[in-house]
Amino acid sequence: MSRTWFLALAVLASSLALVNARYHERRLFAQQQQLERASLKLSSDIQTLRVLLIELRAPTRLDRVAKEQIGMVPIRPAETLSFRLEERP
Amino acid sequence: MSTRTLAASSILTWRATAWRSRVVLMFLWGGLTAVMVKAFLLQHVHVEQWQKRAEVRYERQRDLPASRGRLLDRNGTVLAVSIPEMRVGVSPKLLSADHPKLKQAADILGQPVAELRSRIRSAKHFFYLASGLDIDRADRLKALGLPGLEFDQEFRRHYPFGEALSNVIGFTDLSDLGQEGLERAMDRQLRGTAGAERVLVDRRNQVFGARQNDPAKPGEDVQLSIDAGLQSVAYQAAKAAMVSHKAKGAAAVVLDPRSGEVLALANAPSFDPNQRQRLDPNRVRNRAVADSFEPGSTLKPFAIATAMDAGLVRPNTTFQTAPGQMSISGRVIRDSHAHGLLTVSEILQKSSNIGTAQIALRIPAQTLHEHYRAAGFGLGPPLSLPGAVAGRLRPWQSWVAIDQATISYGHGIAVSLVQLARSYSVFAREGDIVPVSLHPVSTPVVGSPVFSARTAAAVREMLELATGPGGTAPKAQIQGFRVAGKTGTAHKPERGGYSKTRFIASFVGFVPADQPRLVIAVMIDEPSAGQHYGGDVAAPVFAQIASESLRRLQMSPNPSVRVLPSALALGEGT
Repeated sequence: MSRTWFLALAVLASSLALVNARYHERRLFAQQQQLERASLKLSSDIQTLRVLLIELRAPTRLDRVAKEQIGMVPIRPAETLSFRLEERP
Repeated sequence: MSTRTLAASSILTWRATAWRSRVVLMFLWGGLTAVMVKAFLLQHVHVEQWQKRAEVRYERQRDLPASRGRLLDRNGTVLAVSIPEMRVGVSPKLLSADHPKLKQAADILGQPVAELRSRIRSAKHFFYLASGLDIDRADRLKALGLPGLEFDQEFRRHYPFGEALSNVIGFTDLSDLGQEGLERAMDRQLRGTAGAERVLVDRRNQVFGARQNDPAKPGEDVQLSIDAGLQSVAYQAAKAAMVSHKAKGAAAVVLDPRSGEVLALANAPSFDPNQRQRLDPNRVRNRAVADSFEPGSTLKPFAIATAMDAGLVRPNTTFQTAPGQMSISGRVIRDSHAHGLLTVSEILQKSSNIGTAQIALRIPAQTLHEHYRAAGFGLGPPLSLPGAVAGRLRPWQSWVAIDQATISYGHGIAVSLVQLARSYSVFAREGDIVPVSLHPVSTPVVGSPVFSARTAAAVREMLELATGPGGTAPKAQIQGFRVAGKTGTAHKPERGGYSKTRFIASFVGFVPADQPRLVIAVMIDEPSAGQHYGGDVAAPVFAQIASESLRRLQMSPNPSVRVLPSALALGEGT
């Protein structure tokens, strides 16, 4: 009789443990989904910012800004001083 | 208590009703057996069928899109990249058009709420509300908790260099498949493999578990030989020339003759690949590889080099080009003006058609044809890009004297700008030619011989004269560096003849002439603002690209070239 009761209790305990494990599995899955989403969002933000940075430093844009807003001009050889070190024997 | 009363008592008559209990018991046992049989059948017989029914009810297959590989320039700068975004769809059976939070959803989506309500009312099946949502907006929309909304991840292609590179890179369609340019040519490498996952959903369509996950495999990154900085320089110069000369189009190619790498491939007009709702095919075409044209005088060095290589002429051999016209097989060819007695060097310097024709007529047609083929003319396209053309060079057997004469100065032959640029690497190198590549070349390249090194050096000197005083392209000069190159002005073919008003102006050259680092070819299609000669229209574009590119490559001015402080105001001239 006591053996039967023991088995019945074991079955009940394992059932409760199973329910608990399923509950935790779902919680962990939800957390994993949340983290994956956060990772995706960060990855998207990083890529978007990189693209923005490339657009901002594109030579065509910098050239236009330098000429129109700051009044810069391209460097020409005539305005360049070259220094050459003489080779010593 | 009487005997009659006792006889009527149920206790005394139980034997008569015992069969009823047995029947009830039998039914109970029967019911239990039926349950057990059913349970056995469910667990062990037709298992797959029942599992499938359960899966249909609770499981969904979710596609996992794969990110497309990036396109990078030679320095690792990103030229094209896919950014994850979201697409939202709605099941009209689950979402009522009168839902109170629909106004907030419409605000997030940037759509009028009335339109949103009307779309939900009129739809019978699932439909997509919006795509290209950033993750933030998608999360805000999700937080509203509207029933029936479904979110899918997708990737959107971004091109940070916009118009400057669009004709080369091309673009993808909504399915992320390459449609034009390198996106199409390298689609197999760039495209990833989509994955899938089986998820469990509850009755509100919320995912609460996953069964299987086959992750998406992203596409490979592809590095190009293009230099984004030089590309921008070339594009700006080509675009400015097209505008200032009121031309139909312009293109420029920059090659490294040491390796055959393409450093820039610019086209104007161009298009913004980030805004491609209405694309004009004229703007999408990569003129540098897809257009073939008669190159005109830029082809003269090849006839002269062939004759020199065959020992038929020397740089100081003289030819009489007066009176500026010459009759061959009943047809007359002309120079722009009479030059008189010219040496071979002067023929190239002054770009004399008559002098070049006289030289070409001394060469056996087959020999000339073979050298043209060796220089890449009339062969397949040098770059594997969509729409790339091979050009046209008729078999030498079909040539008559006038054909040989006109082909020597670039008429009756068609080439693409990339072919022309590649062919000039013969003179920038030691007379050999290397294949052109859109990918970085890390190993030393062995060229195929076209001319002897001595001939190449001699022609190089002649090409330097062409850009000097008395040449056709002094506007190609840049301060501090020696320049070599040749102009071309070709009449455009029309109705079986040649137009008198429509031209293609071109210039091909290399810098520094003493140690060639860049071969630059420029083509301006139908300049119509007054000037149409290659020396006036294309040579300044060459000079602009060359000077900017050399500065970006941090090359010091040649010590043998005397550079005096400029008397010009800053920003003028080159």
